[in-house]
Amino acid sequence: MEPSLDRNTANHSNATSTADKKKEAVLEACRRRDLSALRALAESPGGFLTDSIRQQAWPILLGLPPSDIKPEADSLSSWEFLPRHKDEDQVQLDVNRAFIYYPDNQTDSQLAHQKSLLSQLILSVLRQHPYLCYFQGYHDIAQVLLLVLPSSVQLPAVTHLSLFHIRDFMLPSLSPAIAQLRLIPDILRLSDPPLWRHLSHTEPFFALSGTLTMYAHDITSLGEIARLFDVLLAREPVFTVYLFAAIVRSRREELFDTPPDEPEMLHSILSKLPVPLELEGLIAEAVRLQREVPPEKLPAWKGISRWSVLKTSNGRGGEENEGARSVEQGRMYFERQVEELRWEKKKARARKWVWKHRGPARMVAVAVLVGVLAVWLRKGPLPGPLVSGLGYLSGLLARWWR
Amino acid sequence: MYLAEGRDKRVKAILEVGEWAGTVKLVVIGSSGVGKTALLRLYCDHEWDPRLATSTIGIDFKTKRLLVGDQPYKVNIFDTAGQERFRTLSASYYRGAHGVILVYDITNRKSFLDLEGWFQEAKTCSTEVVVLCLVGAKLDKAAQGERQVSTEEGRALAESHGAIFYEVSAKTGENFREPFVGTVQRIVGTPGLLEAVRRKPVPDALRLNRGDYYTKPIILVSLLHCCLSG
Ligand SMILES: Nc1nc2c(ncn2[C@@H]2O[C@H](COP(=O)(O)OP(=O)(O)OP(=O)(O)O)[C@@H](O)[C@H]2O)c(=O)[nH]1
Ligand SMILES: [Mg+2]
Repeated sequence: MEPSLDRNTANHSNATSTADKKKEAVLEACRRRDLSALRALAESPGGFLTDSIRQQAWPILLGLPPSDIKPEADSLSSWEFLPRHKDEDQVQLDVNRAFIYYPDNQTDSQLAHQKSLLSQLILSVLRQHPYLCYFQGYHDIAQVLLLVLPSSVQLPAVTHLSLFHIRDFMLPSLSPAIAQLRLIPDILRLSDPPLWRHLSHTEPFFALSGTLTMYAHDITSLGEIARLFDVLLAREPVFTVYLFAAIVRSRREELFDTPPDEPEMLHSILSKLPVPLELEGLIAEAVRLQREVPPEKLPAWKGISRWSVLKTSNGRGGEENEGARSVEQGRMYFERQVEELRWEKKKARARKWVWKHRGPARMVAVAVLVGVLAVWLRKGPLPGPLVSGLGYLSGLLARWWR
Repeated sequence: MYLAEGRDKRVKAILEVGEWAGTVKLVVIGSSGVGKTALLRLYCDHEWDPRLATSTIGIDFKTKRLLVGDQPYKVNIFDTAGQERFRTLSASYYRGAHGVILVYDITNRKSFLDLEGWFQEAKTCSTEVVVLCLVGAKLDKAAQGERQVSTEEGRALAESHGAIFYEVSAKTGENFREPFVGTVQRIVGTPGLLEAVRRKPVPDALRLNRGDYYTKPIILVSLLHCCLSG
């Protein structure tokens, strides 16, 4: 009895001393604004350990300029006087359904108060950045920051998160979000071909709520989601996608028990997170996966816009202004992406038009070709080889057309 | 038609072994906050708890066993997000659907007016023969004088689209089974519907982010255009 008790206390004091050491290391990294040290600490078991450390580390990871981190920064002032944002009704509908799993044991009036704080926080971001589109699930993310961070940094923190982590999801269309999901099958194909084949009839939409909300919609414990945010904020945004691939792989057996031609069942398994959720193991596995099959190796990476958060988050390390990022820059990327989407839409419309009129278009094309040939031929006799060459070419063209 | 839900023990055993007379796929659509998820939760999980209501993100999926006559059917139900931006995903979940349940909130006129768009979507995205069912939700709130859409209006709209019609409440449980049972019954009763949908290929125009079906003609036309204008 006695020796084991001894060992326990020894273990215990050991654990506290490592925790203390880690705490010191995180705070030191924060003082130096050392992003790579923070990243390594975020990946190690337990992440930043406590909310009070997170309050130091998250604003730095989010790239807030030091002036925004001061406690007296007046964050929520005057949003009420700005014009309404087009998505405010949707925000209300979602905020009404927030704070489901945590915090515990709240009275009705406390709950109502939290909801009104959440609504204010989201509306002030949206009203100050009216170009951003709200999506269902954004409220789940904002809720985590609201509960972990002190009120003075909440607004800049959510703003920076919107512009540098989830900007792709706040565009007028959902397609950039879907383009991100398409990376998941590619990761599986390169790292686990049999599993990829098994899932090849299933669209990767099962990962939508996980990736869109940085898992905040699906993880039901504040401690777990805060720990996960440590690493999601410390690493590039593409990490959420790798984490999902790691989750899929961790469920191999369960998935192989379901036939591949039942995409609905597979979707339903994968759209819920596994219980219990082995976060530390999954994080380590996702880090490993990203090293093994880096984004550039994935074919779907080409489908990601060059202005996406996935492609613009690199190279922000320490150099200018100690890793701080400007809101203007985020907005510039956003606008480039909107421009690109508009162009895509036009192209899609043109494609549709051509497709619809493919019969007449084909006829016109042939008529024009014949006409051009005729005019050409009238200009003078063509050398024999050219005529037969043209014949060959049009033959090729005809075959290719079909 | 006689209909029961797993009350008979023998039948229950059959259901558990998983021998189905068929699989029916339903899609539930409608504006955000009208009560789609609440209704499905009650029907599939026997749960009603407004404190546990969360918004749906993308697509959710539930499954339910149902007897039509003495035949057990597996009913796969897709619960969708009401926010406009998620409609991009529509094409993928309508694939192979036999029935669409359209939900509005009887205490919210706007959600009723939005139905025009939802009916439109249901018709363009699914097979011609798909069974439609219109549901006016939150019937319990009518008692507090909050109704903004009358029963007659709802029924008239349903009739004009050839849809079945019910008013329901997830809170009191009034009529909560009827939309699902009624829709599945009509699907099973429509000769050939279950088989027809399975065979029908997905129209190209509905495919999402896949392949370049139209690039060849585009390249050709733009080549021609270049040649002619150059
Ligand atoms: N009184 C009453 N409230 C209801 C009823 N059904 C749903 N609600 C409430 O209405 C709100 C929205 O319900 P949901 O089921 O989440 O709505 P939804 O249609 O799934 O919304 P999205 O997921 O955003 O598309 C919740 O707060 C529910 O508690 C009902 O029959 N009666
Ligand atoms: Mg819902």
